[in-house]
Amino acid sequence: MSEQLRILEMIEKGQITAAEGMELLNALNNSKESEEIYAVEQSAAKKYKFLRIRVTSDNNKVNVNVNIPLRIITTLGKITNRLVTVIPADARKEIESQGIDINSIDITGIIEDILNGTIDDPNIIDVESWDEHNNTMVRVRIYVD
Amino acid sequence: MWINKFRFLWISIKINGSKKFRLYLPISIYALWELSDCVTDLMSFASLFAPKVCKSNKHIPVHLIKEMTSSLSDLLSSITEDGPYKLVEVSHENINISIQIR
Repeated sequence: MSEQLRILEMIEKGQITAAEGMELLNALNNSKESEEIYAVEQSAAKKYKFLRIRVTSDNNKVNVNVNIPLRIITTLGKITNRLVTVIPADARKEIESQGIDINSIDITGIIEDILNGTIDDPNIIDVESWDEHNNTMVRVRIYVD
Repeated sequence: MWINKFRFLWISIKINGSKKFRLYLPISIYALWELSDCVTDLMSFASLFAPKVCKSNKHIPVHLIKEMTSSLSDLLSSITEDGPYKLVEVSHENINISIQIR
């Protein structure tokens, strides 16, 4: 509010024109909106802690429950980036001969993008399939929580 | 941060049937972390006398081992930071296997 008052005072004193004052006020509102959007995005990103994998069956014969902290996944990305720098020369040549430039792959970035992409919808995979061997419906669900 | 390392990787295997079998295996994450830290220190010293990138696969990649043990320390730290939780729980008929961070 004080910034808006200051702009109005500048117009009053004739330091800037009314049009320039309007531009400044618009710029001020836009920056506030973008700050609010960023704050909402950050709070949403911090909300999720675990990547959960659930495999359940109707007859309760199979039950798999895996909880992976998202922190581990980001750490794994950083680790992979570090390990890439110390790959033996022979192995590096073999990878590069297949047309893969290992240095250009930003694994941390890819993981962060995947995690950020799940903010809107926490369900990554939700599949149901008939298991003929056990004669039951099996549900596989991968989501962030 | 420091207290979080005093957690256990608690592995339990239960088989309920005609023959019951139960196995609990607690592994101190702090002990693992200390072990990997010691190996990292040793490898850091050894890496002073080793080339940064090995020319062939025949040589022992000291720098790679150092990075791997250092990474293991980071991984163990990140495992314990989110409090006690069930990492893996698998049950199929009479068999129940679970890995918990306690």
